[in-house]
Amino acid sequence: MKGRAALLLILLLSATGGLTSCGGMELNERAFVLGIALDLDEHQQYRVTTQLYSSGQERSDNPATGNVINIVSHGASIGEGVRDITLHLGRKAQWGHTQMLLIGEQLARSPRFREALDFFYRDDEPRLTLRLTVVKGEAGPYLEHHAYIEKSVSRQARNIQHISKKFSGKTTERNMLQLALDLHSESGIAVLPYADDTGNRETRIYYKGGAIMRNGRMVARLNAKQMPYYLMLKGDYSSGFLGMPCSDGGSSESLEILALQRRVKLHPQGEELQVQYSLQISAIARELSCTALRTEQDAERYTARIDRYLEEQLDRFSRGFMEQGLDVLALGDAVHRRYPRVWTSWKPDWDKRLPRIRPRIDVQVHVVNLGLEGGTAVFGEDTH
Amino acid sequence: MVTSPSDSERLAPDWPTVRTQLEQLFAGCDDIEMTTFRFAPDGPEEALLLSCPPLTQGLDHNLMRTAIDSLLPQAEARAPGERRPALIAFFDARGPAQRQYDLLETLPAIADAVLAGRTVLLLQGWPRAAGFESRHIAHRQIEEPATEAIINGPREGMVEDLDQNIALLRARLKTPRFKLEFHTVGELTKARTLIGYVAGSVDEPALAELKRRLKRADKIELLDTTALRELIEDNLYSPFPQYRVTERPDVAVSAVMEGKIIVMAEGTGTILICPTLFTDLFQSAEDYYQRTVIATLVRFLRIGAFFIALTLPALYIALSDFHPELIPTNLLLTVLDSREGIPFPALLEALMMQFFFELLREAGIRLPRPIGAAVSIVGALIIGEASIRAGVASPIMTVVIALTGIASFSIPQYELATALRILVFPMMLLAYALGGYGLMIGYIFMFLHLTTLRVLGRPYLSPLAPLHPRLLLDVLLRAPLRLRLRAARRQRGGVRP
Repeated sequence: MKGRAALLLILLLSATGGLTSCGGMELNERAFVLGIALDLDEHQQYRVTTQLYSSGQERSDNPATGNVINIVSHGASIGEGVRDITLHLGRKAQWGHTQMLLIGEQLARSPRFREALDFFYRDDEPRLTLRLTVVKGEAGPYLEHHAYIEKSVSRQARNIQHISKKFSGKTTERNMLQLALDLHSESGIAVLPYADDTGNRETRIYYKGGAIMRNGRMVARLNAKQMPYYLMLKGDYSSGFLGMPCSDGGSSESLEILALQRRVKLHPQGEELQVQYSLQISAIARELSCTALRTEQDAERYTARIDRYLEEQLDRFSRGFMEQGLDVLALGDAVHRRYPRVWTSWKPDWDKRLPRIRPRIDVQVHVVNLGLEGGTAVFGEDTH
Repeated sequence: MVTSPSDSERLAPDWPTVRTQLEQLFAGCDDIEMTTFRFAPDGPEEALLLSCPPLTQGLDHNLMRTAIDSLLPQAEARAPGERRPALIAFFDARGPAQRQYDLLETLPAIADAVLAGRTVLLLQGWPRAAGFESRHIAHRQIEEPATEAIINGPREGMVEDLDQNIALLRARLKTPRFKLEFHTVGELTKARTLIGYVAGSVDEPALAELKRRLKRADKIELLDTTALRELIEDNLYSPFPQYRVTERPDVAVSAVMEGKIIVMAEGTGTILICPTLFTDLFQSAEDYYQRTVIATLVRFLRIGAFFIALTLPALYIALSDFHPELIPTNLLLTVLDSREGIPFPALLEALMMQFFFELLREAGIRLPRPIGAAVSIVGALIIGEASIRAGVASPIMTVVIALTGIASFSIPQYELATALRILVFPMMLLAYALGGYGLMIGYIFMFLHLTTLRVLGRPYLSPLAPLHPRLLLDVLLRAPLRLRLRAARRQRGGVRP
């Protein structure tokens, strides 16, 4: 027994010598893809811009370049375009570390978007956790900039997406798996992060709201102001600042939301769906330009004003999309989950039912800090 | 030592032949001293004193004086012709009261006695000899063992003198249940060896097996106890040690209390503890002198160190060659930066660095201390810094190899660390050929080997496999004393402090 084990071990080790690293490849035989930008060119072919990491030693003279190279390839299919990367590089592209997939708005709105994503879903290297962003205009140029702090603009885009979702609520965060799940859900609507350029004649990624996807293509946009309301009603909002106009219309106040709890109650009543959202928000008053807080009544009035303002905004937001027949809030999924039988009868004409739904929204803001506990309000004290 | 002599070995009846026999026996042994005395200026009878001064150095006790002091009152009272028979009668009756001595009857016995450091007295016409115990050799003082330094706890270490070593043990175990069985081995060295155990605690089948194996030791010329380890080990070709070595009496005592057997020998302070199981190799004496939480965490640390020392270079090769997607992106980019431009594949780089490290380690051990420091400087600067600058090795690989080295140093048993030094190479090859799958194969083979290994009849992996959960309290964990006391009460056994 022992002899046989030893023999096996020797055989295995000698086989080791024979197999010169068959499946393995040295790190410096690979090129690591950090970002991909997909567009449609003028011939309606795919233009794939691939951002690859180029190890930094020889470029150390200019560390700001971010050590990346972009390779643009064209093809009738993504695979065709991607295959050409090797021709440019002499290294095998490794897709496992891709940070960001940018999709040009034109492609996102075209029916070819589905085929394009198919490549990434079927290939084993790109991960399902790969983040996506729909960008205004063409996606390729966004990759041509250098990152501010990160090693690549792709990484930076990924981080911005994560951090701004978490701390500002101005965009959402979506990866390949979540997109697939959303598109296959009953309501069939997914919201992808949407980025614009900063506007200073620079195509730098700047997240502004979301792209509403349906049937595998982009159908509408959520702007940066609508995004927090979308996240609040979805129960996905973590924290951020909220501006509130003053009654005079000119100035504006701000409020920092620390935590938010959302509860949805829904039940079908005859042919109608009753929806009740209740939101509990804890917040801090940050800027007060048209409110004086001297007594408890002042504070109560202030809180009531926020409640009212948020209720109005949320109501307007939710109705807006429902009237367009877009189930952005995925109410269809909720009905399906709780009342599957009702859903089977409602599903065929769900789009027509949606505009009739009047969700009731109840907001309760709890201002945990009026800004006076931390010290003295130097300027805001005697404004009114 | 009265032996039953054969005729040829007996002392010759006539004095000149005795002298010739002795002179022949010790011909060429200039360190043996032979002094002739006469009983009285007028008497014809002679006495002979044999000794080996290097073995009796520094002995300030004059044996002859002792003998003669006790003898004088008797001798003076008699007439010259009566003195010799009186003396012989005196020695036969073991006269000199202050010093114990043996009666020797044969030449080999006399030779053995002289070479064991006794002073032998022969009297003309007496067919025997008296061997006085006079052995006195300068020995190293008891000091803290350099290889097993601890922070808290007793600092005594074994020395080269067997009796002194026995004293260190016996002083700690004041019970007749602590048995010490002597055995002399070797034709030239005639070294005293002993096995020690606590009757009642010891694993009887293991003890019987050990005794059976040590019977074959008679022909071994023993300079250190480790010469006996091949008799103790079941599998000579296994990289894993099946015995443990210590120079600390407290470790040896705690081992025998746990039912282990210790093997000691004359001339060395190394104690073999057997049977040693895999889990014993992760324990250190200090675990019992520290707080239980700390000691337990330190044990976990050592188990972690075991896996690092065994697999880290292999893991690096597997990750970089086969599974780069498992490396966090930012780390990967850093690794890429450092790897770019290195002319060797990861395996070769790792083998090279590991080889350099082994070379340094080996060089450092053998060299005298002042030069040893120079080696580590050369190692750190030339191998570490310069090879990175020259682009021969990447910084990340240096980190990997250094971590592997440090992990192997933190394993308390040097023998196990050595095993890992060897095993790390096949692991690297497997990782290079098959990636993570290869690593898994490596581990499977290692565990297959470990599970089949037995030491003096006991499974090497016990109490892990076969599993004895109660014993694990003191194996993976260093459970609090109270808990172990409770467990011991249930088993009606003793407990280590």
